Amino acid sequence: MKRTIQYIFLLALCVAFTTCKKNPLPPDDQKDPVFYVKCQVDGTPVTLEAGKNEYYMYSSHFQNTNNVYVYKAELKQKSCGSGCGYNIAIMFNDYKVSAVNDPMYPDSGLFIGKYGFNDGSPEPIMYKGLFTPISQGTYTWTYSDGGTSNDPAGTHYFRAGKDYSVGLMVSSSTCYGYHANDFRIASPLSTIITGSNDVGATPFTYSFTSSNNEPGVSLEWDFGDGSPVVTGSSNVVHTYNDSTEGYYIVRLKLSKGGETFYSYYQVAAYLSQVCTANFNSYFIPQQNTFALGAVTILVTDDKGNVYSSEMLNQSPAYKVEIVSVENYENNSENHPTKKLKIRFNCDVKNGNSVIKITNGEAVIAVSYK
Amino acid sequence: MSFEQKFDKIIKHKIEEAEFPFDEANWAKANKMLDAEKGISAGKNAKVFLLAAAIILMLGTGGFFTFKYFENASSANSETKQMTENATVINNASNSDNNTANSVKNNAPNNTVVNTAVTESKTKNNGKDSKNRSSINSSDNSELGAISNSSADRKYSTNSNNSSATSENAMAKNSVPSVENNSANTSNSGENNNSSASTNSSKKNGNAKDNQAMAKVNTRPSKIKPVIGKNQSKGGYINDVNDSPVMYEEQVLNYDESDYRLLASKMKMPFGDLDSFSLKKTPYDFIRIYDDDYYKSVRKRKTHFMNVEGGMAYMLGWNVPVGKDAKGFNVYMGANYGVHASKRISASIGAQFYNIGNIEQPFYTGSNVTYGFGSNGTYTSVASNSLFYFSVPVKVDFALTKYDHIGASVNTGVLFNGMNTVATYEMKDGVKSNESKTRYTGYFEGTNTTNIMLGVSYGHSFSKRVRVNGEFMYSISDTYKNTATSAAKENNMGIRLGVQYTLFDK
Repeated sequence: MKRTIQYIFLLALCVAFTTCKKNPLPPDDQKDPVFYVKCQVDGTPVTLEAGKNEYYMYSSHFQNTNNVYVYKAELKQKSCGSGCGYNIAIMFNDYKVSAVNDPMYPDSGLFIGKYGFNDGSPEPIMYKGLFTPISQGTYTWTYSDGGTSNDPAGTHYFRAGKDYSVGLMVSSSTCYGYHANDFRIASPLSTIITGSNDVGATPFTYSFTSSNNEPGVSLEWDFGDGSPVVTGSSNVVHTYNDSTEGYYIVRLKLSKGGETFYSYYQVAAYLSQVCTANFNSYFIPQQNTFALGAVTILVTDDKGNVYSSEMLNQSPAYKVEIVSVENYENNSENHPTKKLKIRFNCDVKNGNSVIKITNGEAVIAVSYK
Repeated sequence: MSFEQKFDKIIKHKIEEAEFPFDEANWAKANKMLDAEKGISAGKNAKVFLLAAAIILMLGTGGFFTFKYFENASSANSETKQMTENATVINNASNSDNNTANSVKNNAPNNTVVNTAVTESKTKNNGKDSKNRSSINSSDNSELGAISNSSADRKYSTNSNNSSATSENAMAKNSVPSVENNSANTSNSGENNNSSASTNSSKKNGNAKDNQAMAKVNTRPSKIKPVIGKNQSKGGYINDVNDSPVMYEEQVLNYDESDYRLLASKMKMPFGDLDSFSLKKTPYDFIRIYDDDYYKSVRKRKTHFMNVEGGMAYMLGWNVPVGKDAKGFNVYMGANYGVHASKRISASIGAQFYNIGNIEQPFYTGSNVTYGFGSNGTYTSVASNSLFYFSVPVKVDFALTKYDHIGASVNTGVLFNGMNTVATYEMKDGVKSNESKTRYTGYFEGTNTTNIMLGVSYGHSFSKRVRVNGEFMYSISDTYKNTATSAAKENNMGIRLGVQYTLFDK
């Protein structure tokens, strides 16, 4: 009996362990989604990712009633019917008004920098630059965005928040000179340098003034003659060596929060009167009637209520910043797209209900034509 | 030569030819065995549990070792049995030697004869003999000294336990008249010193020469010590004792009825007036009593058992996002081998097969997904529909009554097989396509191969062999391994209801 049980037991074990087979699990190759929106909604972290939970990144564009092109990115669930979860749409107005069916210029309309909100009183997006030369002669104005002019006074429109360079070449029968200066439009680091001297009494002594009075901005003057730099003041006086006549480039370094910007001024340190290519600058903000370059953010909750950033004035601290712009593949409509990485903060409103969106970060796609 | 003389000669011859060197170690060993037999020593229990531990280890190493285990266990069992018998023999020998070397004599009619003779002489000689006996007794006791007295006391209690139980059995089974039992047992469990004293008094009364020789043995200090030492001597003495009853039985069996009548008439034995049938029965009854006292009672004591069991288990399952999974009926079957630690407590270890079925939800989903505006990928989910375990249940059982038992168990299972469904589908932007399902045997990585279940049980015996058990089981193991993305608990619990059939219990 015992022997029989032993054999039965052994046989059962043999059968059991010979049929035993350990199978490997199928591979799990998880990649990160390309497009997403992460932010805190009233302090609660929210992440929406295209490709997960049926979220899809819709990219599109359209021309609004003011003939301003709008770049639109919308992250929402696909085929969710009435049971959709939260979704978010981010729209960038183009920087200009375009004729119907004109082509779009996304490289101008979508640039790395900060954007204001289309909240009913949008910040000026455009500035008109006025430049007046100091010396007489013929002039050639060159602008870093591609424009040129031979007008005596240079006039050009600039986008807020962007960096530009303006150059002037002066030529006459008695002189020839060139000078270029850089400008950061409507930025805390923007400045215009003005210089003056008493040619008769002290021809080598100049007074320089910076137009930047922003708090927290540090200034550092380099007079271009090897002398020590001077810091801290927006008004400085410097005397060049009268034995070494020549042209000097004064460079003013503006720093704030890790960002720096340089502005330049040309000095002609001569006993005699010489021509100079220096010029005076002035920027006039343009009323943003069509909310050019402005951003609108729409949030739809799971009940279908739409909250908009247009419904209230945003805090001046709230901006949308494009961190990077890349070309991406065509969308389902076969339109070319741009992949934008942005950071944002804003308030959105529906009726009396306001949602505060903070620490927003997103990678979105917009199409263009 | 008369029967009495023959017997005395045999005893004398046996005692004289034996050498009994005193060995203190053997004495201690015999003490341990005596304690073990009495059941008051933890040594026996420890031995039982050590044996169980060894069995667990062997079973744990797998089937081969399990098979080996059975061989080892059977040999171990036979060893245990042999040891038990040896211990019993030694104990009996010791018991029988409580006062003198009377392992045979105490229960033998010859001893009774001697005692009877004493009684007779007491009757005849009255005061004088009583005086003599008293003096001899006192001298004997002093000669025996502390060792023999203390050992006698210790052994006495054991002996009286055994003899009382045995005599009851013998009475019940053999219908031996109580007078006879008393004659056999009372001499053993009664005042043992009297036997030596009685022998001495018989010597004084000059009943028999050989009895005188025995008396000398009993009273000589130089012989007493070896006698005590001899009792502890395992080797020679056990054979001696084993041989003695056989030889004695043969001799007794060889006597015809006339011998017994002669013996009865001469010795005035209690059965001297019995009729032919009773007389003829007497020696056989003695043998039976003897066997019962020294062998059969030991054999009857149940030490181990083996049973097979099988039944259904209703498991409650574990939580999954859509409710409960693994909820439903399962089966189990197995065999257990156990030992009786005491009359009420037993412990067993076994081999068992069981399954955890009714699993619907996948425990793993793998994907190969490409992300863009949406996603496009292949998804594979694995669901183990049923998992099969080989387990080693270790149970402790407590008998509430003859029929009702409660117990606790630890059931350590090793996963050896499974039935699985692998579902594969493609999904592009939330739209499923190309769905397929494949069945796989075996088990998948990510499944815990060990399942430890704790249980409490109640069983009711419907017959000597059939018992119905109900058991509540709780698994302390996760069925699936936790991952970085999933730390779900899959602890199963449920109730088992099964039938147990006892293959042997002896």
